[in-house]
Amino acid sequence: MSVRFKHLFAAATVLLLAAVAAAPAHAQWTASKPGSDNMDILGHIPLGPRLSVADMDIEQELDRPYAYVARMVYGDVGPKGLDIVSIADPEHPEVIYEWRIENQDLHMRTGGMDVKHFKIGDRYYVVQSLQFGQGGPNTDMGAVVLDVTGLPDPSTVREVARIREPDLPGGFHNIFVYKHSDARVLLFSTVSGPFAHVYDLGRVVEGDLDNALVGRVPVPETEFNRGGRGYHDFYVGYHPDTGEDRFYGGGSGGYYIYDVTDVANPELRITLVGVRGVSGGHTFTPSPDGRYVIAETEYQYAPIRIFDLQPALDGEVTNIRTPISAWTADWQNLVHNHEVRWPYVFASGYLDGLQIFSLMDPQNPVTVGFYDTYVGPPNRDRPPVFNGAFGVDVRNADGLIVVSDMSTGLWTFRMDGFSGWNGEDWGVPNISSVQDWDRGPIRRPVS
Amino acid sequence: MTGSGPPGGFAALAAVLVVAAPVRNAEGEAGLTGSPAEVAGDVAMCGALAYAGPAPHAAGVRPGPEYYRFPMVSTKRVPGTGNAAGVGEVAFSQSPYGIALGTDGSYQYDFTVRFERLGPARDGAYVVWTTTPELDQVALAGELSDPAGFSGKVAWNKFLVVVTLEPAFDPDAAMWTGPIVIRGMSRSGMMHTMAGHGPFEEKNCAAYGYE
Repeated sequence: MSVRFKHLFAAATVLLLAAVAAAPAHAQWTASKPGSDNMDILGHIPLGPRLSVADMDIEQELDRPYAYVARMVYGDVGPKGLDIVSIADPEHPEVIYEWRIENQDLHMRTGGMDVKHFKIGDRYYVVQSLQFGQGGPNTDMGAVVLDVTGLPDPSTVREVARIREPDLPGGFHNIFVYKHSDARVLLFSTVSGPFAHVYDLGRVVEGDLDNALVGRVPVPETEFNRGGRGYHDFYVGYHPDTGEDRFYGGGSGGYYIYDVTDVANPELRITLVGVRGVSGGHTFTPSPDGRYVIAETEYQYAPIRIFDLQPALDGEVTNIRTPISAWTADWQNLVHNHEVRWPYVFASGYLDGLQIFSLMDPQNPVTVGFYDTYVGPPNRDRPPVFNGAFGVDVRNADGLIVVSDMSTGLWTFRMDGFSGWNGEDWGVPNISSVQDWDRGPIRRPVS
Repeated sequence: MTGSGPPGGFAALAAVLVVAAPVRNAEGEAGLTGSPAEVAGDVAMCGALAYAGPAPHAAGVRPGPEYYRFPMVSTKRVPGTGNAAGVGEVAFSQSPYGIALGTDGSYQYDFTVRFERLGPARDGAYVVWTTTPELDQVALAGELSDPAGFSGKVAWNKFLVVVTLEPAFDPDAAMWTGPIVIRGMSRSGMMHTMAGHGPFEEKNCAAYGYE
């Protein structure tokens, strides 16, 4: 088989898989029936102007029922900062605190984008990524860190640090907080450069910002990213088979997996470049055992691709370029971020709202639930598909699902039959984006 | 999410270089020309170097240099000002020596702002300020008593003009306390560092202003 024919065959296979997985091909959710019968909408709180809500994160402890919602200006108006929403009563979410950059109306670009919480010792924090463009103030500011230990009393919230990168202006787009196997709590951030930054958040909250940058994870230069390199999003997780802390990054050229056990000296393990239809990776999340990866790329019509890394894990290859399956909510649109609670994948599907599909058979993704949080039209003043559900998170303790929608605000859901998640219950390591702040990564071996 | 701006590349670099080039007003006057909408259109197209020539101007008013004009954009946060729009314009200050300099050697500029659909201030006064982009220096320019025209001076090459709603005008105020009503960025705000990325990478380098 010629190389050219192989490429054509691969592309046709992805399209066929996506078409088969996305049955029916067109969305079945409507304004009058936005959700599937197995989805229970618990609560909803509008948060302000159209296109002013970005990503979100929820704390996992049931006695700390807080959702953190990034606020941006992607439309004409809106705030730039962070909302803290109490979900103590999921049926009645309530904004209890707002952090705003001072003089927000003079700051350029979007403002808040990604947000994550973390815990060090007995104190709880939230880190909000920020993006401010040149021409206005704080172009070097990448994130703000708030101490939120005293919630729900909003008067106790205090700002403890601002992370700045004067040599890399433009801020942080996406961030991930990981409790490393060396016990440090690390912040991985995108920057305006061909690498991700790694900050020791222990040093950040102690005020030692000069020594907080402890590592950089490069975007390797390949034939597929010579126009410029950078990461867009990533996930970091423990890989039980190898005992490594692994970084899964999506960026220019595709997707990259690094061993970051020694975070000062990352080692490239696997690449996913040369994938048909993928010039740049976006959200990229592994299955709990690290065998499969769920990969998003950010353009209209793009399906989510599922790859099997086994040939690379076995040492047979170092690059994977052919997905084993694909899934989309509506082929005309685009699905954004996702959270993996194997076998379920909870996705914030922009115009298609919350979407949940199962990878019980990774080669045959199946939609198992949905609720359209945005019943408005595609954008006419921005790229059409960048509206609707932006972020999603799942509380493992009880299965609460929370979605941030760019225009309609914050939503809380339950899915019938999903009352929580522990990987052990599904025969996989109990590994997800949820961190065990006190004990660190799960070290249960697999295989 | 991916940024929505147009790819930078050659166009962005060219835009930066063109904007950075000094364009001297031959007459040395600060003419008030072009409606806010016209100016907004010019700026929106700057990233693609779409310049359509001098904008129409009112009879009897001398046109000013295009690249010294900038839009003033409402924050929509103050009741009665959401539909307001404005135009700012900058010119070199007059000097018998050709170039006016401050005591620290900085160029001195005259700036003017004028507004449309800006109703009278409710419960207070509109106050005009200038500030550096980083807000580390702020200067009180004066009270905006006539939205049709306000003139002031500024000594920064790159600056913001900010109009706030204050409880009352205080000539000794060092910093605003009220909400920002409308603001604009000098055209030189388009100039930026390429630190962190090369000149031909896909960055939204042409992003400018508050629209």
